[in-house]
Amino acid sequence: MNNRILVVEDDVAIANLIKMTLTMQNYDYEIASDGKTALQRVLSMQPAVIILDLGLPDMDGIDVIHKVRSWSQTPIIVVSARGEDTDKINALDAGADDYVTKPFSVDELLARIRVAFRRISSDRNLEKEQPVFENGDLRIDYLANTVFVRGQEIHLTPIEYKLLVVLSKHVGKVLTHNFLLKEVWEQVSQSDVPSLRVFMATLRKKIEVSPADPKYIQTHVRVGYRMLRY
Amino acid sequence: MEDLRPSPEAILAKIKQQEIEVGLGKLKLFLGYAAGVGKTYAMLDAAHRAKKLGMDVVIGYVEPHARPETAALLNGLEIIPPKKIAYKRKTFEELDIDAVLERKPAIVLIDELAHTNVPTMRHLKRFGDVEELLAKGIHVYSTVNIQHIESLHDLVEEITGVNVRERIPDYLIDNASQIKLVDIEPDDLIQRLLEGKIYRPAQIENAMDHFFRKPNLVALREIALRRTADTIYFQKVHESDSRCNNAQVEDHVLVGISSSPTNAKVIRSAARLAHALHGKFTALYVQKEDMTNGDEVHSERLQQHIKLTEQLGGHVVTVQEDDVAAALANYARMSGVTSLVIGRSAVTKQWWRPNPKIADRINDYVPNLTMHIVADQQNEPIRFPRVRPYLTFNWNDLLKMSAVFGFASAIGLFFSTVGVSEANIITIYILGVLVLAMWSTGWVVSMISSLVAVLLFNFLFTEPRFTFEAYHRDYAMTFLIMFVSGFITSSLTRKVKAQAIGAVRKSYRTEVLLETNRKLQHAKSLEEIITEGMSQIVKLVEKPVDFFEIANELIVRSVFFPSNALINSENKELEALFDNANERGVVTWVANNKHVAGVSTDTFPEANGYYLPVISGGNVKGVIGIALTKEAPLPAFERNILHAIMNDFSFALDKWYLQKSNEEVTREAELEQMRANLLRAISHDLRTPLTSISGNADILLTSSEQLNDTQKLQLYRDIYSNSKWLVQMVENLLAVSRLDDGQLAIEMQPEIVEDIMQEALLHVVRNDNTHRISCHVEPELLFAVMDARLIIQVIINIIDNALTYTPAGSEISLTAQETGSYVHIRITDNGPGIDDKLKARLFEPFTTGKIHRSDSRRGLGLGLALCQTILNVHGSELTVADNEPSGTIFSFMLKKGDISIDE
Repeated sequence: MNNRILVVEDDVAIANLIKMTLTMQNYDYEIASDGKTALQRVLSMQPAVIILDLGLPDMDGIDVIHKVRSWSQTPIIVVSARGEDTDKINALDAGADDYVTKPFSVDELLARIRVAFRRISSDRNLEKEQPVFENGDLRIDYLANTVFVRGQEIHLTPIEYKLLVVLSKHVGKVLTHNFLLKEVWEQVSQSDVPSLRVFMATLRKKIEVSPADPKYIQTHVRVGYRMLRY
Repeated sequence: MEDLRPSPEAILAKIKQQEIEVGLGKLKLFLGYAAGVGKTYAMLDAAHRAKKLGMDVVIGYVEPHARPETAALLNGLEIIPPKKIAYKRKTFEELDIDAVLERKPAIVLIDELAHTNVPTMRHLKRFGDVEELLAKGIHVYSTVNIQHIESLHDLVEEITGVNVRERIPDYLIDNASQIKLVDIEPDDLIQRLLEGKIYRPAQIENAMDHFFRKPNLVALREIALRRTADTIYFQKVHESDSRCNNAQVEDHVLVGISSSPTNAKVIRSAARLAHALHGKFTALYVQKEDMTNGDEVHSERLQQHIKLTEQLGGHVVTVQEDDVAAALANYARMSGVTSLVIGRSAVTKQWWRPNPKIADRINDYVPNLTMHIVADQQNEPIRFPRVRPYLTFNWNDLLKMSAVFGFASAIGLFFSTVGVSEANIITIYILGVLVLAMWSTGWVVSMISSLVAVLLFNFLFTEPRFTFEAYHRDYAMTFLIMFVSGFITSSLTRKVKAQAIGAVRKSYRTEVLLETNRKLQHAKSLEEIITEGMSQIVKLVEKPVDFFEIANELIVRSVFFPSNALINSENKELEALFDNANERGVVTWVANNKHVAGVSTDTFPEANGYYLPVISGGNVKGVIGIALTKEAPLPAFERNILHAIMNDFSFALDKWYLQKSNEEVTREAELEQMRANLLRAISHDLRTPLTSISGNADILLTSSEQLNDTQKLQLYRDIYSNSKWLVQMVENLLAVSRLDDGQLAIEMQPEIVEDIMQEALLHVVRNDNTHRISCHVEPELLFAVMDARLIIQVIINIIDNALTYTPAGSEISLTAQETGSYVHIRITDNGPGIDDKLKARLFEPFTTGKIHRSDSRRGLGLGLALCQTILNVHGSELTVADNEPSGTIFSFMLKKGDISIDE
């Protein structure tokens, strides 16, 4: 597994900041300052992770995501200066895995990169459809439809189970409300978002040690949820 | 020469008029005096010429049985296929108006303007279609024969003996932008007829014998030529109005409207006269006290006459007066009437009245008025009144009758035993008849009761008693007189009673109008205006009303107002009648065309209601649907009141919209002020941290080697914390801009309170572990309705404040608690607290303009003021209180979100 990162960023100062951070952490990286170069680099260098700024001079970042996703599942972390949730949601729905909003801290960015690398390794392990999913103390047996926390079987309602399965199959990736609704309820209506929250809260209560300080399922207010890989 | 120059106002008015006209289509009429003169040919010819000039010309409708030369001209023109309509098992072809509107050509050709549509069409008459197209800005070419013009109807009938049924109102001709007279010598026309170019051979002979006689044709041709000349003059006068308006004394023709069947002819004569004199035309309807409850035939005919007058370009005025002559004379004198037209029958009709002839009396009142007495022999079929409800005689009446006469007979028998004379007993019976007349309605009851009274008297009191015989021959006379006087008194009583009821009804209606005005003035909101206005209309018409709110010519919603006069199920039934695609189509048409439609109009007469547009500020704001039926349209008096109420209603709406726009202007100004103040506050607030950041960075760049590590660390820390502060500032500004965008940008949703608190804690600026922050939510799964971003911002700001103004080691706790239907959120610290003087000014917004803050207190003003604004948007308020034993509590409430889930 390589540890190459492609940084797509047109602002020199931010590019410098990211460069410096990555160097200190011994990551291999390349910088592309526009969308066209970025797409070429994705082909030539085969990066493990892409850090993509949405505001590029030549094309919309969302289009870059669409293009990359047409042939590659490389994790994409979106860097957005736009504070609006809809931009993040559009990027995530287009296939991005994660996002950071400017201004972001160095720690925050590094944490996201680590999550992305963990996802890759878990993807490797799950080359084929595994019958069992294990993540820390959480164990899901897809065949038997059973869930264990610290060795104890827990009872989940059908919807909670479906939610957990969807989250586990996309572990490490931020899943938008719409995506979850589509996967679990097979239809999308904004009025269902509150029910999604309720199910997510009850699910957490069952699998988290301390629901106030969640370990497995992260909330992204107004955007969605993500299961973290341990 | 000065006075010849039009005033600036007049020029402005004219420009405005022209502007209005720009949006409207123009009508070009091809006028002929008989079939076969070549109107359609001329129209098609003109269409070809227009097309050559590059105009977008289409054929909307041309009679299918076109003659060969005419049919040849159809080539090369786009034809909109006519609509095929099956009606009574026949197929008719009509103009497809919707297709024309869709196609939106510059010019559309529509043959035979006077045509009557199949009843299922939108408009009763084809000219209705044409008017709609003109209103939508499409120019129309059309054809018509002279005998179809309303005001010439009688004249044509006298000459040709043909009663033309399809007629068009005169204003269509007068307002047509071009009239082209298609003329041909009568001899040539007859020649064409004989050649079979006009009718099929079988019809030729019949035509020659009737319509196509030469004297007829000559006369019709003359009428056509004269009418065309009149129209040209009419247009000339109107165009130069601004110049010579004051120079001429305008002629003013007055005619009386009545429900008499001969009145239509009088009205048409008056209209012709007014037209010939180029004067004003007014029709006066004198409503007598006892006419309010007139029977249906009369009121229907009256409505027809009012409509006729309006079609002829006249203005209808209604006055309440018992004396027709006095009313006409008064109006004539007050309104500067120069000529009065009355029918001959009106002059002679009331021969039994003690007062002199109406013409003589008017002459006495206004001697200098020119009077035209028009021959108005019956020329329209008299319709006999339908069987009236009064004829019914029910058991209730019979019961009353036996009671009254039983009582009368008892008294009579008592009187006769004590020797009171027969004359008194007769009086008692007449009294009984009178009482019955007051109690019951029909004249049949009067008749029967008079007869019964006579029979009873005969049976009980005349010798030989208890037989229907009478010895004395004087009794025959007594009986007759008794019957007649009984009948007359009871008729009079009935009339008085009817008048009283009528008066009550009328005063009730007037009361409704006055009340409307008052109520609408007090209405505060749009909702109230609609509710008040509609309930008044319901009161007036005693029928349910449906109000359709219109925005951008689309129905936004409809509100149904049931009538108290009907029972619940009837109201429900009528409500259902409004609720279908058809009726909504009519409503949309009314909204688009700003024109009444539905029952008793010429547009959508088959609809379930009568629809009126509510126009305010030139736009249709609503459509009122009244559940009327063809059998019971609105009487004239009610219609007038309805229009008055509608005026009040539109006026109230105007006022409301004006007030709203004023408020918006004020709000806009306030916002503008707020923005300016905000900018000032921000630039002030930004300066301090920016100075620190740039200064520190400068030192590090230039003299880094002179600094020791601790000093450097301090500088780095300051840069970091100041830039963090700037980040928070930007977040606040984003929140401000979202508030600025108004309600649309704010997304209220039920959110899990705990998630929100966690998210807020993640973003707290100075989370450098100097303070202990705890978080507690009770119960765990608590939803509150909010805009998550904004509330997170509120919590961040308050905690940031607490971090800034409490010493290290202080405790800050964030709690949320369910309180009834609210969620109570509190941010508590145990620091030194805020002193009362500052507390009062704590939420003082940056909008106050003056900034008296020390630099170290930066951000406080914006942060807390912003929190307050955000919470106000949520319908809540941020409050501050002292914590025990020390410290501060900030708290606010949010509406609890109720989530129902089903799995």
